[in-house]
Amino acid sequence: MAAQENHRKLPSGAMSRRDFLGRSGSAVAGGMVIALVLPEGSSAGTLGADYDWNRHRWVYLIDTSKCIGCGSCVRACRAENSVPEKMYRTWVERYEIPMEGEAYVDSPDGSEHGFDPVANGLSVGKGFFVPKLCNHCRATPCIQVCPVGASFATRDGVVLTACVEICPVGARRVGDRENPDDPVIGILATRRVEVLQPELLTRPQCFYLGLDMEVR
Amino acid sequence: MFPELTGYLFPNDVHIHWSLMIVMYPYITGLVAGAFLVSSLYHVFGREEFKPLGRFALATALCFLAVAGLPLLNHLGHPERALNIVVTPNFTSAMAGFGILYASYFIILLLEVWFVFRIDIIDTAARSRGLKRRIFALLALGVYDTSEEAQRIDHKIIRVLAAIGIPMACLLHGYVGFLFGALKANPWWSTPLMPVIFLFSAMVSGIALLIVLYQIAMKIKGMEIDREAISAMARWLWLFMIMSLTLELLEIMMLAYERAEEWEVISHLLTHQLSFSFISLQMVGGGLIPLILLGIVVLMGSYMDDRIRNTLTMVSSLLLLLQVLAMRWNVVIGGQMFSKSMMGFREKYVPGLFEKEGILAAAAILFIPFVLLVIFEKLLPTFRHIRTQEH
Repeated sequence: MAAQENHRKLPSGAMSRRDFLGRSGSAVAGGMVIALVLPEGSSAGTLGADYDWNRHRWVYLIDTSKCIGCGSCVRACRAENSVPEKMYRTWVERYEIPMEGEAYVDSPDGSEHGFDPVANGLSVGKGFFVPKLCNHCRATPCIQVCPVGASFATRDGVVLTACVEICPVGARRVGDRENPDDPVIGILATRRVEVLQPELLTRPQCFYLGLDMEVR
Repeated sequence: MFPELTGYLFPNDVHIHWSLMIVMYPYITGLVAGAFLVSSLYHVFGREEFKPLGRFALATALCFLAVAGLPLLNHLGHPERALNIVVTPNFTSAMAGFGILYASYFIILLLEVWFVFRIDIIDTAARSRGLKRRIFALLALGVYDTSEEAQRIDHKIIRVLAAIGIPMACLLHGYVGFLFGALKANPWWSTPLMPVIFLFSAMVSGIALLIVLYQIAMKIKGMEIDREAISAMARWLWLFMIMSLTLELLEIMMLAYERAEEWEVISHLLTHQLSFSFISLQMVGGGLIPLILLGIVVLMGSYMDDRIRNTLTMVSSLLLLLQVLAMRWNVVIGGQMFSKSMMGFREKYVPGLFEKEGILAAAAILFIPFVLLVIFEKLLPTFRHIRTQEH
């Protein structure tokens, strides 16, 4: 029975099993070679033909002592990036910390319309604003888990900057690690800076001057 | 220093996004894993006491696996984009792994079902006429060999498939626990215990489901409920539920003892928002009570009347099915109830009755496998081999 099946005649024009596997293998191998040889997506895009994303590493710096809680950054980000309603790509938090007792923290509509005075009856020891946004991590947890590749990072760690440009007091700044004369990098090198949630070890590139232990 | 519960939520932390559907999904894959394990206890490990159930457990696993993807597709705002998982794959994504795991496990299970029921398919094809004959001839895939030699090969293949199927079933359900457990930003989810807890509670739900369905099926068919099978399942159920409860409690005790930052939020969560689903359902009604009832069955089973044993295991199983569902709710919904600010809780989540991802949708998805099982049973009797043995 086995001998008969081995020597079964194929209908004319049909491919034998060996042929099929051989041709499929060649097709796959050929495809892989082509894929490897093709250059990776160019970094030029719409940034200008001579922008090389290997020559920049962007970082973000926030100086909370300058922030006045005006909310311009939130409005600018929404307008520039078409952020859907009720979602916030950046927001500002207000902290009123009394001499004793619980801290008061709020962010009404992400401070899109600034802050109104609030009657919380606290005798405030220290009060300040903390702008927050994507921390542009280098060990991104969000990219790690996205099943469809919707979340991705660029090689230069690109930072969107509508908020930087609109900020009236310069609380938000961008720096380039590849630029030795960059003033922001100078600040990172000489002053005490912090990041949010350092214990999660995601290597955020969004640095803060003037955080407080109450800030999460 | 300890973040006080001031009610502050991050602005994007207002709504709960992973709905009841995401509670149903691990529940269903858990049922699959547990049912498959019982089937494999017979097919791989040769536990004879599960022989009456081996085929039924396999059919149950298949019917529930068929709907396992439905809650996810229903939940997604853009279900067609799920195909992007293979178009732009991300090999570090646990969630993406689901597609591959699900597809490959489905294949293994289909193959095993075919091999186990092959003889019945051929018999039915031979005895039928017309359309039914054609359907069964199709299912037979052109193989009509029922000889001793062929059956011996069948059993070998079944053993291999069942053996491969065990780690795959564990992965299919365990990766969900891994997904939650590896999420370092959420302290209610982040623990290495999570995949283990999910797996053990999956075993609990699967065995409990089989006990319930088996007893109902035997009642409907007027057949005797096998004493050894029920006793054995009660033993395994008790073991798995003890381990599952222990790990769940251990996680909480660790958090409480370490008094980490998140304990302020989690203890409030457990005693307020989740007080009914966690304390009443998961720990007491679904935990302590079945622990006692099953303990009685296991420790005093040999002195027990069959009917009492059946009733006690039935009640325990129903409670445990509820307990595992509550546990999934507490993990999935509970983990989303507090803001990452650690200072406040999100709006209460009450799934609507008629919502797209609401209670009726969940009930419908859960109901479909039972319909499939009835159809399966009509086509390929899963208990007939017992009856023929009795004759």
